[in-house]
Amino acid sequence: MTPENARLHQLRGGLAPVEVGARGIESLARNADCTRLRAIVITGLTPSKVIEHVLGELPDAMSPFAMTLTQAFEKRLLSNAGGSLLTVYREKGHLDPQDAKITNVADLAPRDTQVDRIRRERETRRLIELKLRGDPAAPNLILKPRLTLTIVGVTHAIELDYLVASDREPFYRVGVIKSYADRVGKTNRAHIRTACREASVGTLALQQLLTSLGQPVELAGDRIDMVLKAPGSFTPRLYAAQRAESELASLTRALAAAPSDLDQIEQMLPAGASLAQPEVIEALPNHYCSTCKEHCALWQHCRAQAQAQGNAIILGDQAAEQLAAAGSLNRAMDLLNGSGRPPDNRAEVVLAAELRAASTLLDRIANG
Amino acid sequence: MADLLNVVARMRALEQGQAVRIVSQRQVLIQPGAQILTMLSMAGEDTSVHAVAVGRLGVAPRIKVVADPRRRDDQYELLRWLLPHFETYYAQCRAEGTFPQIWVSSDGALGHLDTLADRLRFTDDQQVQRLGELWTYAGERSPIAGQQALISATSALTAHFATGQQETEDEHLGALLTWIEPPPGRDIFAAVAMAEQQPMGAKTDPRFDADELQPAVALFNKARKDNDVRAQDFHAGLIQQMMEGVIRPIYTATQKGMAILSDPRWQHNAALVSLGEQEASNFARFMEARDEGHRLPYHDSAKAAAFKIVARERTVDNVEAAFVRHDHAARERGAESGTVLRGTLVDRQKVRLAPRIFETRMVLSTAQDSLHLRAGDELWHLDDPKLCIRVTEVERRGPISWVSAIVDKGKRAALQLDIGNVLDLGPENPDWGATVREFAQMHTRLASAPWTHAEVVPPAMPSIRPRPNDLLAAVERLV
Amino acid sequence: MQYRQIMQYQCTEPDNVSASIPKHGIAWKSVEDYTGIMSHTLSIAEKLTRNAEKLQQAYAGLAKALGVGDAVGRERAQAKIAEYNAEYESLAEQLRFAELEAREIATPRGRKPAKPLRELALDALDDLGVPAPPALIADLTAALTGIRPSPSRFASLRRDEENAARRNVAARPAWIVPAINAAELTAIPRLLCSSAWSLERRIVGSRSMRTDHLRIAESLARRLKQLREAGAPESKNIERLLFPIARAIPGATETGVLVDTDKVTEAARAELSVLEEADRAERGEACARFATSSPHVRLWGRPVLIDTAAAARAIK
Repeated sequence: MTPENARLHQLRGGLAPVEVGARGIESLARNADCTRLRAIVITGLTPSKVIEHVLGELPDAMSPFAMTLTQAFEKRLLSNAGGSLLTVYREKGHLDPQDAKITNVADLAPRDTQVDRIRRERETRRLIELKLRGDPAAPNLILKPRLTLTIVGVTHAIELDYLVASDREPFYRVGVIKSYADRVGKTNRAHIRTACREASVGTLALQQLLTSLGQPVELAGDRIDMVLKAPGSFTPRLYAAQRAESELASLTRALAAAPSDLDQIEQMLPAGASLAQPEVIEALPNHYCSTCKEHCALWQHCRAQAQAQGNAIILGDQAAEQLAAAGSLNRAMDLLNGSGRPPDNRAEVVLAAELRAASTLLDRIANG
Repeated sequence: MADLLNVVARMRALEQGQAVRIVSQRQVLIQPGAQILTMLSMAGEDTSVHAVAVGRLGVAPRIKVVADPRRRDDQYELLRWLLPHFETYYAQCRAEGTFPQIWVSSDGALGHLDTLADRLRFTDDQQVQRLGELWTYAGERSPIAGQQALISATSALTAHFATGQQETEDEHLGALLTWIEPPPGRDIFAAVAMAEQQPMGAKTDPRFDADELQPAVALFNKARKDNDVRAQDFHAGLIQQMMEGVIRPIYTATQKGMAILSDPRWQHNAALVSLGEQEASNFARFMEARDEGHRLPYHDSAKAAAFKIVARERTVDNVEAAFVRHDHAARERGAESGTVLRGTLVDRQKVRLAPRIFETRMVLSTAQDSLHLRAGDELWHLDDPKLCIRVTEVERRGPISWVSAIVDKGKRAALQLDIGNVLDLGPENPDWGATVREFAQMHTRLASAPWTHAEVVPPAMPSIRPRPNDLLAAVERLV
Repeated sequence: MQYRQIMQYQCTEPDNVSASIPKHGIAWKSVEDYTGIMSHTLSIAEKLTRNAEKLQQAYAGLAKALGVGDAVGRERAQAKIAEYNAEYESLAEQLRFAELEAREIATPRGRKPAKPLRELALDALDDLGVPAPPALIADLTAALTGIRPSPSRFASLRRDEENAARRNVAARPAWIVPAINAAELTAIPRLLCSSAWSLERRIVGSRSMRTDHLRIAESLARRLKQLREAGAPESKNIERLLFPIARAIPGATETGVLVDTDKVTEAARAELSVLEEADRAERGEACARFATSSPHVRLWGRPVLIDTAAAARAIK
């Protein structure tokens, strides 16, 4: 075991790591201030795994109907030699008739064993190197590529939906397939951002690969492709070369902080403690916010903790920001009601005055 | 201050363990025959309806469930079952010169209805198509400011109450109702956590799907495949029971939300009268267009989009103007934020400019510290639609601002005001007819497509006038 | 003894039941159906027994959690009880129906003599003419014969074939073998071929996924045309199979219109004409690299090298 792996193994306290995947890694960027989430993901666990194996509760479930639909849509696009996916790219003019080189990495090593997983990573790398060398045999579509992302010295596998590049393009773009309904301007923006973020994890992995091969990272670009589903049918809708600059930037920042995060986490924990202990999870600082519910299975725990601590975030992000000078909800209540100790500083004086003025206005409005 | 108002309201709610009122007047019209529509989709199938409950306030729902909404024939049968209900309701509203109103539980349910409307009106089944068209009225109105056609109970309630939780958590109707009417003697957080376990949106719980619903649907489909009618009916009956167990509480909660807002404690809001009239007029036009066979496209053309954007912007202004006039809360908020000038009349004079030409001037003082005023701004007396002033100067001396203005309209009314009167001045009265006039102008201008949307780019025609040395000063002179 | 034999065979090699045990007319078929239903009923009963055991454990867990005041344990136990109760309801209904059905033995269902899986696969491959995934082989077999082998059985079939061929490669005229990757000359386990094909035909190059897809479309279109002309009922099945394949070829299909076999063939050939030559050249080059390889390697590809360094770096 490498020293880095040994370190993470120690922190996990014997729990086996899981493939956090693109979804797990992108959640780091969603809540960059949450040490609890960062500790969990960096050590190779997921909030769902912690819920189940550490806290002993039932983890979140995905509806089997949704899962069936998602799998069916993906299968529709990637089966038959990726024909449907190829057709959608051709129809939009992103691939020419001679851009018909398709490889399905999973065909080569389909099993879920370590040997096959490593084979898929190696084959993906080999195919990408073909493209970098300008080899005419380089595929235009690589289905189910498996890349790796190194975080604190260990590699995390990222299995993507596909990579795409026409013969005239210098390098691949990451593509994601999502069964979200595409309603054009009315499509749920949160879904689109999620898809962009997940794809951006793939782009980051490509960047790392380019660096390791001595190639410029700019080749990976900052664009991703997204395939959504037309409402009520399996007709695919392609959104090619979507900008993902901000998603990439936030992910890069989040991952750059990982090594110092790991040191910090180790220093925080008492000797012999690990993330396999519920009390250790509870003790790690968190940053509960209104979006945690969308991506983290621990949200209810963190909310209960915030309620018990009187954290202003339980009233919303706006409240947390506006009441920052008070430090806590209890203190803010004291300032509002003119009870407890007098304001400690100028900021509290101003906040107290503003809160009371707002309270007077509220009485006027609500009871006027 | 407006932000802090929301925060303080939530703090009060948390302190009291109960939601607090944030307005005294009703913020939404509740039509007498408003329909409550609760629908559940199958997870992942955004355009499906697995179960539907429809009814009115004070009336038990009529419920219909299909065993597997992925089967088109069964799905269409459910939708055809709904059509007469809405056809009758819409016809009744039309006859009465009013408008239909549909209540759903939350914004998620609202989105589901909108998605369905967009999809159904393009099916090949005439009846289902018609249902999609009728629902499109509600769906298209939903993003418009002040619309009264499609109401989400959570949005309506949060316009009247503030809870002691996050805004996103208010989207759960059960949690929201628990804050508004908490169970006595229980910890509010515990009560809310219990309420959150009951689905209140447009989907069933994933664990319920995994443990109960999916196995039942699979057995139903197997029985259908085996042509076992008895087993089919049995499993269909089970699925009906399961789905009713989920949909009834959502329907009841939506009814409860309506009942809370129908309570006489909410004072009348005159702003809603004009909104109701606009809604009725929009509805009449919509139905006439359907009678004439005008189709509802999936995508707006560039021209149609331009008209709609103008209409929306105008509506936002008109709704704000209506509320700031008639809604106490909006007026106070406006005064706090500076969009309403609340000034004390300290001077008014009638000045002779020339023979038989007079100018009425006034000076107001105000302690508001967040005014957005500058010379040339036009302000209307919010309590007297005749009086309009034009600001000539704003001067701040210490904590007090002095606003000098000329009376443009309502000079007689201005002269009847007493020194020391407090006036609220703000935007002009809503002008609902302005949109029509603007449309007429746009229609003329857009008779030929602008070059930005045409095939041919016009040749460059640089200006022959000399470029000014100070561009900024030249632009400012235009104002 | 005969009853136990039937049960044993039903559980392990359903395809070979009829082939290995002599039948005696309609009465036999009734027994077959009855044992089939009975074995179905028994397996539900076994599941119910297991469910009851799990419920007992969950209740014991609940009692323990209540005794020590373990709120988390109590919640977990309650959730498990709810899950197992739901499972119980479902199984109880299934058992009730199975018991009802057992009382009315259905009209004897005819069972066609079943070929072994390998034969079915070879027939399908010969029809398709190019390397194909197990799912397509299974679908084609189902379309033509009414028997759909489970695609998951092909992995063990491939291994069994390799082991048997190692013992005596001449034992059969053709084996089920994996396709071979043109770049690394290693096996592609998810694509199957017949060993009777030429090496070049069994090699998959960078364009081969697409060219093979086009060829599959062509051969299915040809088959569909034949079946339609013969008025065979299987034509509907083949059309259902062909449609998604043809849909992935620009210009081959139209929405809402029956598959036009000539149109599919024309579209597939048009695209093939662009890709064929380069594909053939690549396969030919790969073929040449096998010149000095053993017959086994020519059938099953080169051995795979394991990257131990990458394995060491992976999180574990």
